[in-house]
Amino acid sequence: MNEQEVTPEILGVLRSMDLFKGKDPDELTEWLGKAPFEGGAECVLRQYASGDRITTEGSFGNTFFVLTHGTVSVTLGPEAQRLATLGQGSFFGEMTLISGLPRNATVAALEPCQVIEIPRRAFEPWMKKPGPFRNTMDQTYIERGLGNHLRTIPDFADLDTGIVRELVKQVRLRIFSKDEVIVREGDDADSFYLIREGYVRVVKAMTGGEQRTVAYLKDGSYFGETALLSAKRRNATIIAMGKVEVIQVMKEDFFALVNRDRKFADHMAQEEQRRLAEKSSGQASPLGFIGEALERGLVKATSALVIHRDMCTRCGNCVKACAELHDGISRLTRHGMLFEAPVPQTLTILEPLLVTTSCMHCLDPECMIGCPTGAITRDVNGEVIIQESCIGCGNCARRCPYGNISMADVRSQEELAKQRTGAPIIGGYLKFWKTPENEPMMHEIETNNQKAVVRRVAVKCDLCQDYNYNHGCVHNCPYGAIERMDAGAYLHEVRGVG
Amino acid sequence: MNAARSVAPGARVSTSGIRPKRAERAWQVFAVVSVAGLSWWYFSAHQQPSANGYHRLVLGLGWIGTSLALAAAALSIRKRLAYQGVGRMSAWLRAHIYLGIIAAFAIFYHSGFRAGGPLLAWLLVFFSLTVVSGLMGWWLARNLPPLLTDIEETPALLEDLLAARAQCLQGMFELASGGSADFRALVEQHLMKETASWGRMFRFYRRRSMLAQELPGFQKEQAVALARLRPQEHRGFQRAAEYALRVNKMNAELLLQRVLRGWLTFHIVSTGTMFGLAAVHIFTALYY
Repeated sequence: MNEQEVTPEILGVLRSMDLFKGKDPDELTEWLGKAPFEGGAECVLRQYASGDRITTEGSFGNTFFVLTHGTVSVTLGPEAQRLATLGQGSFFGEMTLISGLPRNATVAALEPCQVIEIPRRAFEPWMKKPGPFRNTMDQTYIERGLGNHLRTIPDFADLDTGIVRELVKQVRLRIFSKDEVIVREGDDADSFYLIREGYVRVVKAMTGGEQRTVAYLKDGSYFGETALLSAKRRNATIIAMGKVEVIQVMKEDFFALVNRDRKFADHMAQEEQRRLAEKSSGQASPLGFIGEALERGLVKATSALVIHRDMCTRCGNCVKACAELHDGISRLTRHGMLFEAPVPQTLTILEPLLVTTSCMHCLDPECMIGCPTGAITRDVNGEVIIQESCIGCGNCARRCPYGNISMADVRSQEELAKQRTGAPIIGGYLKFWKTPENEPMMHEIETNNQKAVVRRVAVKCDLCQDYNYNHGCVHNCPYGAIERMDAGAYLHEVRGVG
Repeated sequence: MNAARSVAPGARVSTSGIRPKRAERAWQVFAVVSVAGLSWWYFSAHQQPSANGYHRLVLGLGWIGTSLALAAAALSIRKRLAYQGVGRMSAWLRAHIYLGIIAAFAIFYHSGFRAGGPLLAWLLVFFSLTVVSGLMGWWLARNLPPLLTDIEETPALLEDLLAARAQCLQGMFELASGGSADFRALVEQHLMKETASWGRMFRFYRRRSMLAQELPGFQKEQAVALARLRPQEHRGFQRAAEYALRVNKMNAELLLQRVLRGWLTFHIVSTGTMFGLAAVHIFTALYY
């Protein structure tokens, strides 16, 4: 947005919102209007006609929206079930920025609308600082997230809207990182938990003190009700297997809910009976491959590159194709996680797989957090891509938990020419003249006694987006031994989790 | 990694290699129907011989066989247009295999299984070599990768294996050069032989075993040699023995990978020669 677009009316709307409470007009104008290389956000003012879609359920996004004029509808599902109508001074689309998940509702204009589209790099700095922006975002996230989330859980779907609204005010959203203990076996039970996002491991102490994983639970599952209802201590330890978001309902609020809603109480009692019966029969959730896939983070992959080792003749066509398509630097290395995975449909046959060190386009990509120029982003199909604005800081490579992003020196004649344009001696060769375009990513290297100016950038699998077909490696495998796999869908096919 | 074996009771590891996919099934049906059609044409023409019908059969089968063989050979063009978006390599390979099989029947029927003059005899020989080497490649591609999977520690390409093997050999030499004369002699005469031992290499294939499974036994076998060394050299010798076994195992993998790549040279050479002879044959047939 340029300064002319930031009108007093827009500033008035923004300042009336809880989100921007306490921000003075100059600060807001600067935030909305600064160019990206000056640390600005590159916010965009957009106009929509009546009926236009602003966001689509299921698509991925890197922006959230502030409605400065008009009204919009928020709908869910193929029947377009109306969830809410938002008016001037509302905001939407923040859920996808916080969770990294696809948009969970469709927003369409009900009349001509004006919105400000705000990208992740403007959102993140303000979310890091305590203040009204972060508080409002967190509260809205809980309210909207919990409301939608409860509708997806069969046991909670029939809860009265009034009760849900009340419940939302009482609960706490808690975020745990990998290996953090959520509840510990033997502790007093003080709350009930709903998993909003992520996977947890249920661990029990066996006779002899051995800690054994007995089940995995995924989002939509809940735990902690057994100890509350039977007034006993926790009978298992629950450990986060990655970033996990849970909704914590305190003991008193849980009992208030049980006492108010008979149906819900019955559900809980049945669930407790079922778990007790399962415990006495010695059954546990399936572990094996699924457990291993969860432990090693494969389950987060939406597009893992998998080699069927029994079909691969080791011809190397995949690596050659990748290097050929990406300036001689292959983004695919034939190393990675080895699995023996069940073949769908049969389940009794295992096949050896290699999940290569290649971008898995995670559901909640940690690499995208904190990119200073917003160069790493995801497109509407959910593919994580690194754009030209990468300055080679290496932040994404450090953050990727799977080591699937590497830093590479890319030689480019175009960059070389750009660097040496204008001031061939002072600017180009001695590097006194620094501009955002050519510093700090350009540097000189010497290989085989030849000097070359290279650009250090982050590289990763980009699914061969610039070509008229996808995935050079998959395309050029003569035996069809390499493929892209949605790990979540695959695991669902071979056996459900939790 | 092998925890996954507990997925289901009685689960077994697939050794089937390439499993037929739907597209492959379609090609299989097409090939069977085509071969059946060609066979019916060939045998019915032989049952009711007439000069005109026989001439049509020979000419027709010749043209069909040549066209199919050329279509199958288009795979080499696909390899040169790898990045032009001209379809999946696996689809082209399937077409290559099944068109090649149909072409083989058409051309053998066209020949009437008779050699004729020297040109035709050589043509038939090279055509047979092309078919046999192709079928051999197909068989190798289905059966060697599972064996390779079973014995390799980490999946590596031939180039990576060569580099790793060179490092192991270098490690062995460095150990040898740092020890006494006895130690050096023992490593060079005793362990170096083990790196190239075919018997040990085939044991890897037979047992489908990993390095860790073979190493304790191998080190036990070296006990006699070990006794000839000073105690402070025992550890170095054991390390050198590990290198030797590792090199031998890499040789086992390299042999499979070389076979997987090597047959192609044979196939390409015989195909090229076959096409050259076929061009002469077609020219002479048309001209005379």
